Amino acid sequence: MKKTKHHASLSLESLISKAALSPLSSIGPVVHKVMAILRNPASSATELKEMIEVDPPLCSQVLRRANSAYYGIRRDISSIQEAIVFIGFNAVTELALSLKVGKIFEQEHKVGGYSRKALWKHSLAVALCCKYIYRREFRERGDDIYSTALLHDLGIIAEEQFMPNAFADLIERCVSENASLPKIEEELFGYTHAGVGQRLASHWRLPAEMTAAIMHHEKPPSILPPGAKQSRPALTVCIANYACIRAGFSCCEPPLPPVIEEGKYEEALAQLQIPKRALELIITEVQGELKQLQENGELYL
Amino acid sequence: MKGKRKELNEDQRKIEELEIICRHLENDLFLTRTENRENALKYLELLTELNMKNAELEFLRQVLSNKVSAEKQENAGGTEC
Repeated sequence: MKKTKHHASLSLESLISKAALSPLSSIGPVVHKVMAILRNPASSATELKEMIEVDPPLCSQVLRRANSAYYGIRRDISSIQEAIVFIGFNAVTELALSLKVGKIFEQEHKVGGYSRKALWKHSLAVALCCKYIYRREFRERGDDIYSTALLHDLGIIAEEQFMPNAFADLIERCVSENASLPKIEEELFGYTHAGVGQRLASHWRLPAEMTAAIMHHEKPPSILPPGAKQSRPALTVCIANYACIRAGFSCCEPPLPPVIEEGKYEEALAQLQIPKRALELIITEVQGELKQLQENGELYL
Repeated sequence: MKGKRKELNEDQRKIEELEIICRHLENDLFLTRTENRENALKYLELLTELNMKNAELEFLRQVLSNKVSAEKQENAGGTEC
């Protein structure tokens, strides 16, 4: 076997410490606040307005998006209050969260077949897919699931930003061996991006189901009892991640193979009681929505 | 016979698909209605806040207006003397 020299990677602890001291950690408090607002049924529009208004760049971005063709509002929206009234409380919350998380994907970075913008598109596709699964299949709003799915590949961003050379080696090996990301990560670093994401989410004190879903997004959580309510977010993110990669929303070109096989994916679908065709229809809708965002020039910041 | 069976299977598949779409739309409609009700309440909340702010500003305007009148009168009195 050909031996290749690899760049040294950071230990998991060092990577988390570096990420915690970087601008990446600025999204932690925002996600925390958004989750608190979404989780509290008594939360007021004023709370949301105040949260957005203390961050002027976020405020102007939310207004720009609220006025875009995507929402199709015929009048000018000039304040966060108006945005809440015209496009809805939940839509504004979701928008604020997407814009804040999207900020870390703003600068394009390409290495091997990997692209940061493609990772953002993948994260957004998984988030939309999870939201639709919750709304259409479970008849639940799925407020937390959107945030969870948006952040599920946070570990990749941390690896790519804080150990760029080791990350380039990782992508090169994944592409040349047509291997999944976690498999080579385990070999090279001794941990996976899912583990990094989970540690970061725990560091930000995000809810336990959220950190569990980030941890298990590549592989269904077998440790949890089947059908248990707490395994639902993790299973949903996992199947959405798989379905989105299969639909072409991958951070790499050519797409890297997913960790789970088709059989496991079908098992997870059965556990969630989602017909395969239903998920295919949801994926078609996600593709349409992302296409519309791209056409309107609103997919990337 | 084979062709008919194929047609039947195709129809069956379409029916199943339409049933899924119908269920999805029903669930979405239910949630959208709930959200719209909640948004209406949030709208009222914002309206109350704006009305309160208007009342505060109106009060401030009144106070300032009174002050201006009083100053004017004082100045007019001073000139007469």
